[in-house]
Amino acid sequence: MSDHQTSQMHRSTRRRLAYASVGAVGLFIVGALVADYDLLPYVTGPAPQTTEAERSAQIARAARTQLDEQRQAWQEDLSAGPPELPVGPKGYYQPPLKEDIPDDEFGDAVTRGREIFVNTGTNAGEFVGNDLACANCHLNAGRRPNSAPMWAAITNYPAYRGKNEMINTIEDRVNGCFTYSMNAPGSPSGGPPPQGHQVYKDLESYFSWLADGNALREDVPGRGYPSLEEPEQDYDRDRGEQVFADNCAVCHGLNGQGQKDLNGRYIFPPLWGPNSYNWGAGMHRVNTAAGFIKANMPLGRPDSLSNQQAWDVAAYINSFPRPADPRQVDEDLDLDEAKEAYHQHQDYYGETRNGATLGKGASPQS
Amino acid sequence: MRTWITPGRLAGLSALAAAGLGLAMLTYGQGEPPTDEPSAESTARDADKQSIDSPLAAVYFAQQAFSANIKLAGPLVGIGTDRDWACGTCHGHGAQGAENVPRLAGQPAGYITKQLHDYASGRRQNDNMRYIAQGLSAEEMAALGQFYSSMNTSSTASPRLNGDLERGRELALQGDWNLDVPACFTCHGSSAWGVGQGFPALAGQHPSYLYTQLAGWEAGRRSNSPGRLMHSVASALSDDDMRSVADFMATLPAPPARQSTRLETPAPERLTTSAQADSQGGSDEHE
Repeated sequence: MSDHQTSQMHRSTRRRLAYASVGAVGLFIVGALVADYDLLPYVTGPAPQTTEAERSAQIARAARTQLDEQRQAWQEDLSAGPPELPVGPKGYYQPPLKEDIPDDEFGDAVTRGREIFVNTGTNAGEFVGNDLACANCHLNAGRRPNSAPMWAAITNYPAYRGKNEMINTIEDRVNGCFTYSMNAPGSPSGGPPPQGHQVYKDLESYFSWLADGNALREDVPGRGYPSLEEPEQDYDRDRGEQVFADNCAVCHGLNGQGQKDLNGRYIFPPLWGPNSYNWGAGMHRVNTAAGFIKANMPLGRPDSLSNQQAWDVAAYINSFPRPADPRQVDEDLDLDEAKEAYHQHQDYYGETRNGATLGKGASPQS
Repeated sequence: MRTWITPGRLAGLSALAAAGLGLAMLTYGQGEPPTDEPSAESTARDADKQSIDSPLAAVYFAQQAFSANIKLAGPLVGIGTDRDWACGTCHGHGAQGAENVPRLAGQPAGYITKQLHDYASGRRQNDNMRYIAQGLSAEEMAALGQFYSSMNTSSTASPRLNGDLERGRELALQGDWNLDVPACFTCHGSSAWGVGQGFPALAGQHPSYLYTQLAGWEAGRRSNSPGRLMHSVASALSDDDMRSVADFMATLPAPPARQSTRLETPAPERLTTSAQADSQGGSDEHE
């Protein structure tokens, strides 16, 4: 190998080194630009993004799968311990998903129960004396936390209730819903479903299925409606009128009578008058309605009203005529007697508003 | 002697530099939100948002629509005026719409009338519609409301956005309560044909239009929904969900003509803020 050749090789090595350095600097600049301006998605395509909806659905699914696995493990080996409460994306108990309804007779009852719950007027119309459905007050078909979800109700019966001073089974409780909230005395059959009726069996099947995996007799978070603190100023129906016009009337109408769609179906339920819940329903109590409203209304904008607004608008809604309290009618009480016996709470029973005595019962003309 | 710079290398390097510059500019443009709105106008719009119409405006305008002289609508729809082109030019002579131009046939009269007022006042932003609406009197808007609500045109919409129709159906019928999104049908009706005067029909609407509106609510370009209900819903939906639900609506039969010219729910005696008063530069004929 000659000197000439060696020096040429050295030159060539240096040249290559120089090229490599320039190349490296170039690559570095390109890389820095890519990083600086977040260009990677343009090179690799957008990274698959998980939406919040998908993440929530995955958490719900995972909670139910974990329950199944832990149950199985416990079956096989006692030392594995009992399953944990399945918890959904917002930290509340996670009921089973629609696709989990079993494909058998029980599953059929669950499905029927759900249909009755959502379209009560069409599927149990014989016992419905107004234009409401169970799902109007128990949102998302009885699944929504803080909207008196059925998965928290059924696990707390049988129970003693002061309302009727006896032990109530879940059937007794649902009987009460029909009697008061669904105003069964005004229904075609004139009353709630008779004892042991299939309507109860289907509804109870649905509730029981929803509560599959929930703790028994536990005051789980999300049960019932939230109890609101008493408002700073006392609740006031006149202040509530403005809250109603601003937030509620677009759906329920300025006259509170709800709205139907072109098919004649009620889309927004009537809140007072002859086609709403009667004076025996829990919702006629200002505190109960305020809790429901605060946590759930307007639809899609929960917790957008202040405490005070929720109380005021609940007072406004519950200061109009509505169907009579069936206990007052059945026991042949006058309003004062009925007020004394059944209305020692936050309501407008027996008071006079706009010339009408509340509690007498709204006739279809009023 | 070999030269360092060959034409080939020169071309390659300049191409690389150009590409780098282009990419940099591309992302630079995307990183910054467009700021083409003069600040005076956005301030005016903020004021509008403060005094946004009563949530019952649609019922109020329906009252006007039902008593309007429908003969006023015909020429506007079919021929246009010296100033304005005809509605049918874009919305179609069956008011069936296309792509990003909405179907109007069978929409509630009060809803249509209110939208025209909102375009005129800039509450709803669209340059074409703003120009058109500002040339209309309140009476003409009301007549158009009545006219379009009584039209019967079958659907010409079809899914176009590659949305997941099953997911769209789920959102429409059940909603997604993990996101506080109620079912579309709980407000827009059991066939999505609309409810009352304030809730428009979605069935048979064009997916591009529905998608654009949802995206507009989320981004604040459209802010005229009563009680900001649609703003809340749209903000909770992902882009995929918007496409899915817009596509699903296109699979449904369109609403029939509205027969009734009677209000089913009482109208406010007057609006808390007069739409006419805020309508900047609107026609003098506004009452």
